[in-house]
Amino acid sequence: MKKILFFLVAVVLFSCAVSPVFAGEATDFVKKFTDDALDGILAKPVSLEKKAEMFGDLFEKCTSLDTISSFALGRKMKSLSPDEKERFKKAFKENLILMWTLRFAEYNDQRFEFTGEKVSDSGKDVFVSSQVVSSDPVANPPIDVVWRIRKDKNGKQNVIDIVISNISMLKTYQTEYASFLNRNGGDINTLIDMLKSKNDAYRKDIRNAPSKKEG
Amino acid sequence: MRRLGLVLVVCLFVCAGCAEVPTDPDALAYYNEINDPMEPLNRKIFAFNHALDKGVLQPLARGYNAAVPEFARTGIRSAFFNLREPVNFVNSVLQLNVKCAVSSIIRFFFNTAFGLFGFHDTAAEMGLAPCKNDLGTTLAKYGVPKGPMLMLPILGQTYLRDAVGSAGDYFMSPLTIYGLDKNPHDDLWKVQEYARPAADAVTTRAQFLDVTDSVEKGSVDLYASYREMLYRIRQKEINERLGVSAEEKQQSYDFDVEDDDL
Repeated sequence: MKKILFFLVAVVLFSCAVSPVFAGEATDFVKKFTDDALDGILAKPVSLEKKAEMFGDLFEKCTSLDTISSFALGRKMKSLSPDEKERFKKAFKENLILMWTLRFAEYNDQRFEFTGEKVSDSGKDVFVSSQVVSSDPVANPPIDVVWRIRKDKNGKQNVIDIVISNISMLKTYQTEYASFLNRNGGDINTLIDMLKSKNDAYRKDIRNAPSKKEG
Repeated sequence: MRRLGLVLVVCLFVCAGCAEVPTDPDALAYYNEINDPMEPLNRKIFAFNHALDKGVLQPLARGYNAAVPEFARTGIRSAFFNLREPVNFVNSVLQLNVKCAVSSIIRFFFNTAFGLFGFHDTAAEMGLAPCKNDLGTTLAKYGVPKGPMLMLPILGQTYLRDAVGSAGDYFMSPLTIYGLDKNPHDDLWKVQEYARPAADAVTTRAQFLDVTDSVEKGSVDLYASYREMLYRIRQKEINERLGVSAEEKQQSYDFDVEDDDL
């Protein structure tokens, strides 16, 4: 069941479609997200390394990396030099892509059912509610997934958070990184190095992963 | 005199484990919400639990997953859940949740009699969905605050309210009541007291190996990651059982996200 959690995040982070309308249309946007990911990448008969590349491209187009990375670092982001910001964003982005590439590679047999949408308290975002259901609901009970969608200043929709079973990806990163920095004297370079070492380990896993989806 | 010594040791332990209160407003809000004032001590216990998990529980759980086919694992989980049905029933009654109380008691007798002691969830196939419940949720319903976070040796992360609730659930279990007047050398008593919780721990751990492997591979601060995730999962569990409105549920993830960079 828990595998599905990772699958979900993989789908939202790596699929992309831009809807011209925001209010009332966020569900359509997310539906398109999931369809593109499932049919456009998951089903492709290519290696996992190739899929990671494809995800990287989609990730750039359909998520707001600036928002996600800024929130993940919290106030610390504002104190960084431009060079430190860029290096953190690069390592963070790679980390997301590689991690979810690995996770999504393990999953199939799930589909989304959309259950509604609500506007956030601030009025800036729309939360799209959905459930992931599998063909065997006894072994894999449905999982609640909420997608947080925001338009950027150019009117383009972006996924800025995914809440799976009440766990917000954004909030989890923020608390984790704040705790890490607090325990390491606030040194951003230690965090960047840690992310890079994790990225290297992920790349190795991707190279060695059995190609379940190939052919 | 011995009592005084104990108090001093406890004070020393608690003071050595007090977390620094943050001054940043956002960090302070989170500190108050997560309520982990004994973080330094909790981290030490977490490190011990994690080592125990790596060295003992994980190998057993991996062996169990490798040796036991999936249908049998599902059945074993179902049988363990069946043993909890009386606890679910009592707590549903305490929460005045008639639907779940009726469901739990019927499920217990039905699955015990016709579902191989719960190995097969026959009642679910007939439309009686399981209602998991516990005393921590009952206490929450009647306004008891969650209290500080605790990291218990072996048992792991919980809150004071849930720890008290778990102890209460243990004593209201028919199996515990059965064992209370038993000779400690009684074989069945030994199974109930030692083998059942150990088997329950291994089968539960086996269920979550994939997700914990993934978290451990990706996390830069494992303690902080698990603390956040387990807190949110428990919050959702209680909200769902108590029928909290969709608006209230949304509050837990509708935090402010600045768009300076958009």
